[in-house]
Amino acid sequence: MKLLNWGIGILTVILIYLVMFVVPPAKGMGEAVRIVFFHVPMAWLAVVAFFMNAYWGAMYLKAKDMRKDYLSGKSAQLGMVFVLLACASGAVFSKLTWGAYWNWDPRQTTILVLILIYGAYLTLRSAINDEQKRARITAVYSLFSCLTVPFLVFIIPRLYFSLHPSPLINSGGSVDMEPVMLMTLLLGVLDATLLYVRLLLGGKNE
Amino acid sequence: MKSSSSNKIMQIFQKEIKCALRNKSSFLTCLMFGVTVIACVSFALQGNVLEAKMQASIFWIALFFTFMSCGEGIFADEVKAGTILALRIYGDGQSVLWGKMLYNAVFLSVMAVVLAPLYIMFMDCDINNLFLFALVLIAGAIGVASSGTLVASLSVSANSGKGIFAILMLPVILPVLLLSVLLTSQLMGAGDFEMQYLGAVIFYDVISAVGASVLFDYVW
Amino acid sequence: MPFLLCYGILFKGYLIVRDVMYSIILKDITKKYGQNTILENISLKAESGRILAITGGNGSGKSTLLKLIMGIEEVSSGEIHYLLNKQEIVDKSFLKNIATVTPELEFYPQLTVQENMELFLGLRDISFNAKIIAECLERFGLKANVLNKFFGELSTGMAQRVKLAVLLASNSEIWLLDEPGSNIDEAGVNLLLKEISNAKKAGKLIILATNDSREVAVADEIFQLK
Repeated sequence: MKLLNWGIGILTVILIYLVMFVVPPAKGMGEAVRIVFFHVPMAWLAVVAFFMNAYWGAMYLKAKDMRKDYLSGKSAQLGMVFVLLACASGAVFSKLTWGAYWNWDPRQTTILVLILIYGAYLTLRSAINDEQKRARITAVYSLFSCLTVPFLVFIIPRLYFSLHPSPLINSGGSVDMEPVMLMTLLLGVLDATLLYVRLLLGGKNE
Repeated sequence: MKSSSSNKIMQIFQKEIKCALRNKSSFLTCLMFGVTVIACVSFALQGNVLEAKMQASIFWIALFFTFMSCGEGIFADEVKAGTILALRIYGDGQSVLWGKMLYNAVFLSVMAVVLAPLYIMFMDCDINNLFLFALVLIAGAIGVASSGTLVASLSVSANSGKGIFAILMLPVILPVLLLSVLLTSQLMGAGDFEMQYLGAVIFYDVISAVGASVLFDYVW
Repeated sequence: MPFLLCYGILFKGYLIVRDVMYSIILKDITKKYGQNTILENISLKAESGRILAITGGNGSGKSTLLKLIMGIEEVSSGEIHYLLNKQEIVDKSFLKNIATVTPELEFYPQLTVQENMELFLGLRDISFNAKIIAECLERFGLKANVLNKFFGELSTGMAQRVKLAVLLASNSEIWLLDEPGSNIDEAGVNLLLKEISNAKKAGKLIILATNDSREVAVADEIFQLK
């Protein structure tokens, strides 16, 4: 755990240095591009935490082990924080580059759905006193809400027009980004993932 | 075994129908709720005619909240009446789930088909193809029924009262809501009807019913 | 002659024990709601052919304990073992041998007594047999004409007797009774006590949560909750 703390600390310092001083301003986006290195890892974690929430939920139903429920609930809490940070940073970036905080881009829409699911999950969690029942009921909800994800992935891009920069690898299969930016971004994702693991495992219920 | 379980599903279904027919207040409350929402929208618009997309959106918002107010009682009423214990002691989860789901699907479909003409009349909509419109309505109602039955069973565990059902439902039912709005707007003249989206709604109905069935054993 | 009778009863008892023998074993059960501890470290055993009475004041957790055994609520810690002929049954099928009468149990007020019975017995794969049902009703002092009344129109005492009649008709091997004598008059309680004794002789497993001294008196064993 100590090693992990140090690793995250050092990685974060390197990242801040890279983002602030090394990465060049991107064409058409200017200095605002630096937000991307915060935004993308947060959005990535929001999605990871969502699936981990469901995964630990399924594990709870299988083993009826309260530790699994703890991990599931914690993932949702962290996911809620990440998704809000991703949403806020995305909105700022959107305002600076496209002129509006919110424009119903497919990814923004997806993030709103994630906020709603996390919100509903955490509300349900807070509304059940009995620990075992809470673990069971919330796990079922978390798994059931996962069922809608494939539908949304299929529907949303067809209903909402996109301005969002394409993902790392665009449809041509080539990487549409300068190597130093890509490296920094991947490093950011790694750092954020380690942070998630640290926060997940570092609770008092260990 | 197979015939016995379908028998039990029908027993639950018949029980729901009998109770609903003998205590008309729940049905009437639901119907009047829908009428009120539609009337509310019509009053607020003060006679303005909307474009097809807006009409479809408002129609489904009205229908969604009507479904939410109708659907949440499916388990909550049993808890309130104390009958849930008898059902749990004597019944098995799958019969109860499928029986209630079937009843809910019929109930919400009837509700949708009754309320739609009212909306069409007040809002002056043109529907290209009434048969397809009815299909969209029923497919949407079944989607709400299939996921709503499971979610209603979860929401009765929460001690925070009634509102939580709608909170839990929206993210889950969002695909059906979005697709139904799209399909309805197409039927109201905003583009060609795209059959594959109706297929997607029906696919959702099937997937959520099966998913609910698998997960319900952990709830019961 | 008394000797023969005695032997007969023993022989019959032996047959029943050999046929089906249910036992429920609770080991160190604790139940909490949030910070609130309802039951703490409860261990007990109940077996076919015996009546276990659970006593204790209001709020001592009698009803919660029964709900844990019914599988309606989950334990916070500890284990519940269900055994059939000394073989542990781990799936939920065991719970289908349980029937209960508790103050929380209600039937559908909009359905008639007969419709309620058809529904609940049907869910247990028992078809509605008018003759058997009439006998079950009669054993709790009810006439067959009660079948056509809506459950919601019955007095509380009548409703309680109907619930007991369904319990009897359900052929369940395990009876969990929570204050079964509440709301019924002296004559009804006597009928109830007789049926509990009959059920015991028929080899049923009976757990009786009550503070009524008449009911406690028929128990083979008393477990006091604090």
